[in-house]
Amino acid sequence: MSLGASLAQAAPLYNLGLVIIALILFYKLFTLRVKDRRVYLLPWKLVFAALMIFIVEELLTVLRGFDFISIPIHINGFFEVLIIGTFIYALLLQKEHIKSSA
Amino acid sequence: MLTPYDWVYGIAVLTAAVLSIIAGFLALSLFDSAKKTHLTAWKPLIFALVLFAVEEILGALKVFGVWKTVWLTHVVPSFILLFLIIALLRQINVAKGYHE
Repeated sequence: MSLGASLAQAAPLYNLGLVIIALILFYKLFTLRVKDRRVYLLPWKLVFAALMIFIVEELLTVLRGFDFISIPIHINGFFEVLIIGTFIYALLLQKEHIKSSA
Repeated sequence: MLTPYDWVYGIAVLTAAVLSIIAGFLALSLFDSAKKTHLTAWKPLIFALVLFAVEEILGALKVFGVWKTVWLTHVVPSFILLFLIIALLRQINVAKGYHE
């Protein structure tokens, strides 16, 4: 097996590991008592929502890789449109907040 | 012969690629603002969003058979997640008041 094929096989699994770390950090961020009044957390909540959609997509990829499910790969396209839409909304919210607080 | 399912998938992939380029440019337009201390977490997040745009373009190229880089489309998300983790760590520090 080539390096590229090995990476392709293992990547969804260690991506899930990195996601677990990100989830723990999101939990810390949202349960923290915010001391800086300039902090605006709504875009981060949207990034969290995008991460949750990514988790579902990666889980389906891993399960498909091990032949546990047979959902076609086509559904990933819709997940990605959702993720990007969420990112764009988060960016626009942050831009608007920067303008209104300037 | 392409099925309606293939058409919908292809349109979804192209939509994702175009929207990700727009998101990438939007993210870059925020880069100057991210120099402010309370927005320092947005710098690594902007890198993550630009990498996401790259990932979507690679995915679209793979789907249409232009350039098949199977391993790359799985490795790039790892870097996206790494930048996201860095951004979260910075944002937690900002929220704690370390950058006031």
